[in-house]
Amino acid sequence: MRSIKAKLIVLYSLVMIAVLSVLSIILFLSLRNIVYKPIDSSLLKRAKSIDSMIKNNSFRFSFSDINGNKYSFSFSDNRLWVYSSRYSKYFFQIRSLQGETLEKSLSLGKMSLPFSKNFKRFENINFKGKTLRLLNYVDPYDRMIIQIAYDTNREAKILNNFTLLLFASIALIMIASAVGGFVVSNRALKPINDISLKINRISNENLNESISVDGVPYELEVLVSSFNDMLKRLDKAFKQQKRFISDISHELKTPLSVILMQADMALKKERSSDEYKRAIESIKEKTDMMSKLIEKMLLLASLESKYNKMSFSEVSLEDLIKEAIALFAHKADKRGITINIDIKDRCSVKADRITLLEVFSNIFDNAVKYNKENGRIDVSVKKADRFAVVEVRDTGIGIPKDSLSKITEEFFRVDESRSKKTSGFGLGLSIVKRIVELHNGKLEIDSEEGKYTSVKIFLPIA
Amino acid sequence: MRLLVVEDEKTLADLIKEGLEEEGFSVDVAYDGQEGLFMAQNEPFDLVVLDIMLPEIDGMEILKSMRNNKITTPVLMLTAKSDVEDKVSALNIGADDYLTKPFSFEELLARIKAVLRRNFKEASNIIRIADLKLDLSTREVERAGKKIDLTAREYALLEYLALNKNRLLTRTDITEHIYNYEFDFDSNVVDVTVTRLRKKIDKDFKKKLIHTVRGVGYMIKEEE
Repeated sequence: MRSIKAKLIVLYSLVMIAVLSVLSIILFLSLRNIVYKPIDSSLLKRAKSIDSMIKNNSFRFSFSDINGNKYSFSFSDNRLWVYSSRYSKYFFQIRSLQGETLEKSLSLGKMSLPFSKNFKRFENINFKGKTLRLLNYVDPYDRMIIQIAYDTNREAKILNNFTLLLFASIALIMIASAVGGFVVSNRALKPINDISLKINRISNENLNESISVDGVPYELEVLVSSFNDMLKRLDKAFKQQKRFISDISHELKTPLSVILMQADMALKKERSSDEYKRAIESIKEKTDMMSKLIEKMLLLASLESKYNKMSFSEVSLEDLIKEAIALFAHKADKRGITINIDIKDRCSVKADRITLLEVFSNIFDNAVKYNKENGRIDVSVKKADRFAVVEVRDTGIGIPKDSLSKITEEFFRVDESRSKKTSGFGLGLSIVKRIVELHNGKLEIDSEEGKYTSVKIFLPIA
Repeated sequence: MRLLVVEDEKTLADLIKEGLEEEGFSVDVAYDGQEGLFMAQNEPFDLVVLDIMLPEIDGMEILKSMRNNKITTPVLMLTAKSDVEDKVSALNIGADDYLTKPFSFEELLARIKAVLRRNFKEASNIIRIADLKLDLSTREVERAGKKIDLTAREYALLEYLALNKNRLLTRTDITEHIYNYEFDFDSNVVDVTVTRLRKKIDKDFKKKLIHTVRGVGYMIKEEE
């Protein structure tokens, strides 16, 4: 059963039924006790009175006991006249211990009170369509059983009516409580419906809106606020995505415009072959740049879903760094930059070799590109706790303080005009950060403008 | 016509300048928002080609400041974004037209001409003054059915006079609108150009169209 409402109703109906049943059984039993107690005591009194009458010989009939004593009694005794009418509500019958009838009241007529060997002291019997309360009174001395009965039709009727009333009221209470429960649970669930209506109004257009907690019950506030938190996270991710796409479109369309414009200009009228050559060269340069940019963007995008495809193995950082440096040795040489490597601790890390190489390529690329002529690049590897720390420190132009926090954002460039000169895309450090994170490591960048930039990479040791 | 191109991609800006100059416009270029805003506010351009994504101050901000300072120079926005929202908000804050990158030079030129024509309240590309006929789109000039060849500078001067027909234009007006920032304002190049233009337009005709207002400037009009 998946409905909270149905569960609630069924559960508390069951509880209600149990409580009401116990209650009605108690009520019924105590009422019965109240009804039968005086009857029983009066029957006992009557039995004792007949017994004493027999003992006093006031009966006018006679019989012999086991000792041969003869008894007799008569109905003239005014204590017995209630038994004499056929319409009387009282009956008696005197039996021997074997069950043989010795005498019975006139009110019984030709009938007999039922008797069985294993009789109870008090019982309810059906007699000619009447309900009788019967007392089997045993007089052990006189070895006889005095059966005395009283027609309890009235009392039984009261009890019946009472039982009926009980059942009817239980049924009524159940129906009322089911309806009440339905209404209550509906009202209890209404805030949830309200919230879901509000949630329905949120689309990708208004993700920045939150659900107000006004009128939301205290118990649901937690739900609403965690939903709002989720909305915020979604909105952030969505905006980031949107910004990334708009950045991509800007970064791609601008060089594309240049290419198109260059071609248009070349074709506008007759040009000299020198002019054509220059146009084609410029187009080629832009096209090369664009294809590099596209490659970087695809790499960055693929990193988002890369983790499952990476193959981790133990990689020696020393070897990997030397491999990366080899790729930039020529470029560094051309600018007179010296690269020093200082391996303080030999470290191996669990890494995807190819992606990790991309990290160091990007960092060395920056260290060469943004360095001063005849500058230096110091690379060190050491252990710190359970991390291997690689620091690449250049003597370059540095990063302004206010740009440090944004330096790893996609397409962020410290200075547009400067990056135009150095043909950066603003993607390198985003890629580095993403890859380092995929290796459960972290990236720290520190810099002083005009002096140095230090990039520290922390990777868990294998 | 004097245009300002505000575009941070240097190559693109230079290509646009080169192309427009070949079309007879005089063009100034600003490579960032700050410079662009300063030039737009301090020089009387006939049109500004404004990129939205710029370093320092973005194109939307420049446009807003211009309009707030009551500078009504028509503005053609350039952008790499193709969102409808962007387009709408650019037009709402007072852009005259909008062009999405990448665009062809022909499209840019056609839009610039359309915006200029609208701004000078010319319904068609053809301006007629008496028997003088000027085609703004092909830059062909005829008088009494006879084609007249003009240099780019002469055409620019004639076009500016024609677009402002029956209005007196000072020498400063003319230099500011047909020459760019690099021009030396002290020279009498305007007078020289006017004289050369007169030779081609008015010399063989009885009815003179270009009039001199002594000590002030020039105007083009039909009646004597």
